[in-house]
Amino acid sequence: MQHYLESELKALQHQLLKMGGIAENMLRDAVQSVLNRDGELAQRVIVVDDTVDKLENEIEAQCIQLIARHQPVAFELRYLTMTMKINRNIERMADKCVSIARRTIELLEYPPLQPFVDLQSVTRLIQGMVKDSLDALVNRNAELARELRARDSKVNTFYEQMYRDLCSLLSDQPQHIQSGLCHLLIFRHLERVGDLAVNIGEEVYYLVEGEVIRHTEIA
Amino acid sequence: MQHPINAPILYIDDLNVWYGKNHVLKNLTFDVFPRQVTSFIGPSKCGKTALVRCFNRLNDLKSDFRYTGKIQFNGVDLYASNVNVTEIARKIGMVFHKPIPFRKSIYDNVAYTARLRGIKQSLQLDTIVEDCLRAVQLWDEVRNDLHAYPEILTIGQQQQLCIARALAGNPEILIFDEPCEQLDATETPKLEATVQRLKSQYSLIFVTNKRRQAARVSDIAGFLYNGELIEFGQTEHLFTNPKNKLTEDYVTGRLG
Amino acid sequence: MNAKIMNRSELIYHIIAIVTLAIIIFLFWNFSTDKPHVEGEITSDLAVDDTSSLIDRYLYRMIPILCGAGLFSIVIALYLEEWLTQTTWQYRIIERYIVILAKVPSLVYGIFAVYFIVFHSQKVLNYPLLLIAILLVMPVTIRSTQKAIQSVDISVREAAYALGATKLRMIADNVLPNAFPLIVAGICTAISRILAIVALIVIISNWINSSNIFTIPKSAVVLISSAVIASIFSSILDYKQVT
Repeated sequence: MQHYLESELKALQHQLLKMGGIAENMLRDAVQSVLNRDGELAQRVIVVDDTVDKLENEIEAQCIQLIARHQPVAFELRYLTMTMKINRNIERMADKCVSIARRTIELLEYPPLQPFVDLQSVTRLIQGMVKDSLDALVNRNAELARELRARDSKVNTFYEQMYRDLCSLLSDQPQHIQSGLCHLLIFRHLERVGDLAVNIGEEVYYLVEGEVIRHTEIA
Repeated sequence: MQHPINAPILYIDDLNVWYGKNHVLKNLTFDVFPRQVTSFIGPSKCGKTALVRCFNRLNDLKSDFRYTGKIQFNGVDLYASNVNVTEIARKIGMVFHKPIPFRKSIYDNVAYTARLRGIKQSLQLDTIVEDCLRAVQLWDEVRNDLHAYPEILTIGQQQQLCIARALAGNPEILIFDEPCEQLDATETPKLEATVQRLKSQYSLIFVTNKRRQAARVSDIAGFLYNGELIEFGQTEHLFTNPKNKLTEDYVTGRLG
Repeated sequence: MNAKIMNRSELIYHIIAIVTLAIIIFLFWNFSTDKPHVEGEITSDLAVDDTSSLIDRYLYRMIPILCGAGLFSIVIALYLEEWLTQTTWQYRIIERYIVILAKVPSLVYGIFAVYFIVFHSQKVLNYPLLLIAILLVMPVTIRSTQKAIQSVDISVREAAYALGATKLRMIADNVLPNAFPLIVAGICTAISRILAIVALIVIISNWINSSNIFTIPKSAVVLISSAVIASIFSSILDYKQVT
């Protein structure tokens, strides 16, 4: 029977990674649409979200079914509960991308704001975190998962920096207030994506080490 | 209920069974579909065994057995007067709650059923024995002791041998009547894996009083209580969202 | 009678069996003891006749009859266990006869045998032989064969039926091989009983014929020791089956 459940778990992980891959692409496209003021790309991101929603439901149903049928314990129990949580996190990540895309479309109505922060490098950082969180899941790499927390604090610093810059920018140029707030929200969403990647990392750490590191100080 | 678009292999309509004055099964109506594992769960003495024994007519051995209703196998009434009982028993194989190897060599145990089918050529028997033992993943373990007595095998292996013996009769349905009762914890998963493998070729009916096991192995599950079929449907529905209070109590372990 | 040991209907069956058996034996006794009296004195013949050749004559007659009785009792036991339903009155009454006859000490039959063979020996009669065979061999063999068949687990039968075996196939392939040691043990017990009784006959005829009543003839020693060997063999088979 063990083999049977194992193959089911593998299939589940495959689906989860597929969903993660879609979310990664969504993130890339959403940020690209912000940078290029590309309304079409943003629209596409919003459409793709339906797939992710559907996948989320599927994975959750599958998890519940497996738990009900196999009453797993130990690693398998951790794996299934973790899958449910990661599933939720990825879906929220995709939702954040949709929010970014919505803001992009809104931004098109306003004149472009002069670049005040290096959006691309922050995005690269966050994309790296998302990718690594999924890699950590695939490779059961607890160290990689744990490091994400340190990397997230870098993102937070960026965010605070951006906040201050934006404040000074808007006090200089009050006519850009709508555009500036849109940017603030976009950054806020990006920062949340980073948090979600950290959440995934924490779940992976729990899966591999069986130890909860949420709400603990970074060593 | 979502069933594959397929004719039912067993069709049971309003089945009532009595042992003497004891009304053991009450108004059962359900279908069994091919290439699926249909399990029956329920506390002991709820009529699970009596039910499956109706299918291969083992109940005929009881002098006070009486029934009403309809049982059709591939569209033919199982209890019609022109039905060949031994033919039915071969088509609907059965594995019992404890392994019952005959006092013969391992080879002869498996060949027994093939010989009952009328196969006499030794070459043909050899291939049947090998195929059946491979199907239950016992071949590699016993290939050098084919002519030893089954006592050298563990209980789990003996049970696998009994499955192989039933397979040699070329059955369409295979009934497992609490097959893991005597097996220990390490041998049970092996048997369950065998059940999963056999699913692609046979229709399996799995009786168990371990609800977890039914949840693991079956596609369709029925819950029997005091001779009544309380609920019958997809296993995951039965275990995640049972419609009946009794079923809920049973699958959660509050009952029985 | 404790109601738990035997309920009322079974008690009635038992009483019927005992009474009918008593009547049968009484009639037979009357019938068989009348004729020799008409035919004259017995002891005079014995003095002329050589006892050992007499015994030989009986033994040679007896062996086929006993073999037939043994086989026949196996058939009867099979019929009782496999074809008769155990709740019918036929089964119950036949079983009572067998149980009662099997429980009668073999010495009682021995007295019969001595009476018929030693004192009615001018003629080799077949019917007392048959009677002895029926009374002495068959109950024991039937009873032990029945027990042997009952000892074959019901699950073995069910397994055979569930694989599509017919009744005859099932009996030949599963019941008889499983029950075989116990059946043989039962036959051995019967043989040892018979040998012991023949030994008794030999000793008694020796007493009648010879002046020295304290010598035990060699043939009696052989018979007794073979009876002991047969019973040991039977006990070994019995023990092996149980463990």
